[in-house]
Amino acid sequence: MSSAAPLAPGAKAVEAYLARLRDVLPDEKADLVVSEVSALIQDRLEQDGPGPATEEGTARALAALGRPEVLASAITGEEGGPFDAATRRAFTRMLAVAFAGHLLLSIVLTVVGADAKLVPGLVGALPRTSWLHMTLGVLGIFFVDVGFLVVLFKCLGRDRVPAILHHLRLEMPGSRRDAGLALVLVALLAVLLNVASFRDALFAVGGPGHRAPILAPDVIALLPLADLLLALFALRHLLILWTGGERIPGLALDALASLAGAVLAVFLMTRDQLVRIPESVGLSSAQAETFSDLLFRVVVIVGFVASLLLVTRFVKRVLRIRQLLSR
Amino acid sequence: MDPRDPRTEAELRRGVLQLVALALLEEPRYGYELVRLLGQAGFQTEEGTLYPILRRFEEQGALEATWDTSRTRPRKYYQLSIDGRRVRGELTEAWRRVRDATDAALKGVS
Repeated sequence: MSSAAPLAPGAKAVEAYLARLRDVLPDEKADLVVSEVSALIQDRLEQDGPGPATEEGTARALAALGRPEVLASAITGEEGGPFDAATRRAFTRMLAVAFAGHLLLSIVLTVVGADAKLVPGLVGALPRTSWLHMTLGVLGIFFVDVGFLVVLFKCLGRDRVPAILHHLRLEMPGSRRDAGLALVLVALLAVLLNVASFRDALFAVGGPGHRAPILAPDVIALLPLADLLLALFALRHLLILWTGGERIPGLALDALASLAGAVLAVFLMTRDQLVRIPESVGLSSAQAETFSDLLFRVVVIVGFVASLLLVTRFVKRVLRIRQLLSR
Repeated sequence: MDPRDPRTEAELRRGVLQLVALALLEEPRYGYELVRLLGQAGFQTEEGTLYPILRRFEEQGALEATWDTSRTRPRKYYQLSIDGRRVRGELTEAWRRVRDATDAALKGVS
């Protein structure tokens, strides 16, 4: 947890180094090694004289340790070959996120009985003809993801691969202030979706005096799921307000909320009808159809991106819970 | 291999770094102190090289480690354990064998 005191010059570099080291170390060793390496850095900085460390002194201290990935490989007793510890961890974490996300989307599509593929050949419902076909479908997803990552890692190169871990940081950021703001937003959304007069005024077409609500009954039927999602997020933020930071129950709630969000996004994308333009609005049937089609495409694109992000978030939270439990 | 390259000698010295480190840990010392002592003894090294060695010896039980928490910030001290003395003895024997073999191979070479 960061303190309010300003950081000494170079302290940020030390923090970043230790965070990177923690990322590439096995979970069971991370805490101890990071505290020992931190003590080593401070010992060297102390030799530079009393007072806060200079940026040059910090840079020398970090250079004496070498790259975090190389140090981690030396600590775990692994040679810095083509698949050193940092690369393997980056690959494993990315594969876990990609495979779980991919599989989850496919399962949701299978459950809702969507025949259309979200991305032809890559994301679609699993075959339901037999267990063998379904197993082969799951294996196919796995190998597609492995292949995709191998190509990605090959293109990025060895030096840039461990940097991926920074973009896949598992910690759940959150402060009491952010949680408070988020709760207000959640409350506003809940009112907007559940109070029919607000909802019908917002999702409507037509001019003043004759606005007509357009949400299709299929979409209205999804409101309980949307409410569940909002309730989970609200609980997650309430927990942060109470505890002040990242805790396992909060992470679990966030994981559940992310999952519910992804399911909701997939349900939305797979509805037969999203909007229904009433005749009273005065649009011709061709115009109404074009409008509906356009809206449908926008929802599919937004829903697809949202579901991918939410599934990634779900997997990251699960990995983080596992990480915390293993300490 | 270019014998005039300073890295050549550094590589030769690195081979015995573990033995020298164990020799210096008869009394409790912290990591950076050991780096300085090794440097003074002619074995220039850095924390990134020494720390994994210390960790490995500690995990093997050759070193005993204690945290000094009486300071403003904790510092970890390493010292040779009973098992570590045995390891040091074995490494010393191994070093002598290498040295004798090297001397024998170099006999007669000016």
